[in-house]
Amino acid sequence: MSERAWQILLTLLAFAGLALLPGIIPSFYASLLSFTFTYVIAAVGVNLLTGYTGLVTVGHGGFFAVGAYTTALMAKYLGTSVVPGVVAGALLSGIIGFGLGIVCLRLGGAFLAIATLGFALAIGAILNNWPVFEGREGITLGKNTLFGTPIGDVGFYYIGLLAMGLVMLASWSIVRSAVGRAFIAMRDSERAAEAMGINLRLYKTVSFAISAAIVGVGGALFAHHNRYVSAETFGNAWLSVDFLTAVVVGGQASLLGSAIGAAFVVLVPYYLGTLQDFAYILNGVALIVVLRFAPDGVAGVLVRLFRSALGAVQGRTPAAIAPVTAGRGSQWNR
Amino acid sequence: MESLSIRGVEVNFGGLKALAAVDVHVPEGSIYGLIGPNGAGKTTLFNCVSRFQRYSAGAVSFQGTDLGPLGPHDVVSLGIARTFQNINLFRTRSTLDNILIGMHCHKGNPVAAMLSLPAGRRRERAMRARAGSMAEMFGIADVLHERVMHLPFGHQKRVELARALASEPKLLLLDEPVAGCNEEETSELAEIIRLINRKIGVTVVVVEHDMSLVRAVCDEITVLDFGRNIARGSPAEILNHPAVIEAYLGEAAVHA
Repeated sequence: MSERAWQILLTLLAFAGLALLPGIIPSFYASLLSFTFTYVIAAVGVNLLTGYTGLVTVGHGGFFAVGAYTTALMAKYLGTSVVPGVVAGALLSGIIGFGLGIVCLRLGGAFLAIATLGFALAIGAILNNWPVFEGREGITLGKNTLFGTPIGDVGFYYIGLLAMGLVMLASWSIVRSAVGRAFIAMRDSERAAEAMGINLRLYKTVSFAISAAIVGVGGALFAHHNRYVSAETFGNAWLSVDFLTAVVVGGQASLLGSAIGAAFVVLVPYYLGTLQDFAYILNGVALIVVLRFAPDGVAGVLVRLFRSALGAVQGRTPAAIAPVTAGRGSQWNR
Repeated sequence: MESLSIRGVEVNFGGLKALAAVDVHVPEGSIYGLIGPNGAGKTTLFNCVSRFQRYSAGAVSFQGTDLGPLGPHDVVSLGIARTFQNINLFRTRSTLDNILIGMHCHKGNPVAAMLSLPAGRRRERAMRARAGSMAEMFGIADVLHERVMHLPFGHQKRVELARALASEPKLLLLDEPVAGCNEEETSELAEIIRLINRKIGVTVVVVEHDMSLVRAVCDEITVLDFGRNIARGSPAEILNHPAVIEAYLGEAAVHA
């Protein structure tokens, strides 16, 4: 069996397992998992921009907020529920992402990181101070419905799982296409990419927009999962930091990495319980350890282990097992 | 007929005149050499053609189209491709991906590609097939799925050539293609360059220090020194031209 076949088989098994889980585990855990799904979606979006295109963002919590508040305000004033809210949240987030992409075109490395951080803080300031967003009072959303039918925690779990599956499928299709190759080309060498006819301005902006739209989907789903949004959650930069941490720890330019990283940043603070703040220290340690010893993240390590196991089983030595990102990291110091 | 035409091009870096009224006229179908000592402005001139460098006076045109208003990504679709002085590959990607990225201007509808629509998948299959046969032609088919950063130097050079030709250019700009190559690799690359020119019919402009390559492949040569044309002619004429010997070896050598 080829590596590609294994990849597809294991992915299908993982999704089948997740689809069966609500029948086995208490609904509380189903809820925790659907919360994780929203983070996975966000991490997939951030990974498209930071992992594949090589543009580091510390501001995509801002797009998570755009998605969340779009659907919250629509629910409050128009009485809509999950599907229209998620679609509108993704669209608005994508449009704002396109705009931010244009503004940030000439920035790279640390400067881009700072500019995107500024964006997240600006969104936070707006949420805190503009009356329509209700600041720390927050907006409460009604019971979730799907085309008029009320759905409970388990129903919402399946919406989250389906959304995560679709986002991953779309992202997989994009990064394997000529467009995705152009994103990666810009990361590896801007000058050579340009010489191959890749329009840097266009492709960077498009990458920004797609990534923002995906994170917007996550944000809108998060609002419906929590059924409450407030500046307490969205009015600072912690979400943005969480997403970037998820991508780096999980594995840059890897879908599996997005999932692992998102699960890490959600579940670690959860299991720490009252020691939650300790999670920030753990995240920091994880970042340093990964960047120092496995720049391709936990997913990269797993893939390499899997390849050598597969090679051993099939009785051949795997050729050149080296980390994908060995010697890279240019986007961190450009 | 004229392929590339450079007329009176001037480039200033601060107070330094990198190029002063340079003229180069490359006939269609030829292999054209651009030589000169270090700092003569050869790479700067290349960058003017591939639009990485702006010029303050003069004009560059390709098959009658003025390149002045175009950006670096625009010239590829006109049919101009280039390689870089130091290998500049997409290093974390495979040989195949590098060639495929070289086909960027033939990718078709980007939305169809991103969503894997039937039209996009057909196009992708065709591109992959052509990339495979190009790799075959350049002798890199056996490393099609290797990351290029793990390839030996000579292979990386071939990948870069294949990637440049993947856009199906009419004009190929080679910036020091044999820099760092040994004699054997040099003669192999000379063979490949001739093949590209004669078999595929691509006009080639080559910047090179290595006179054995220049002598072996070039139909005509322009010599630059301190940003000026100092001579033009066939390899035999140029390599015995007093001004050229002076530029390379100093004045004493001419009188000696």
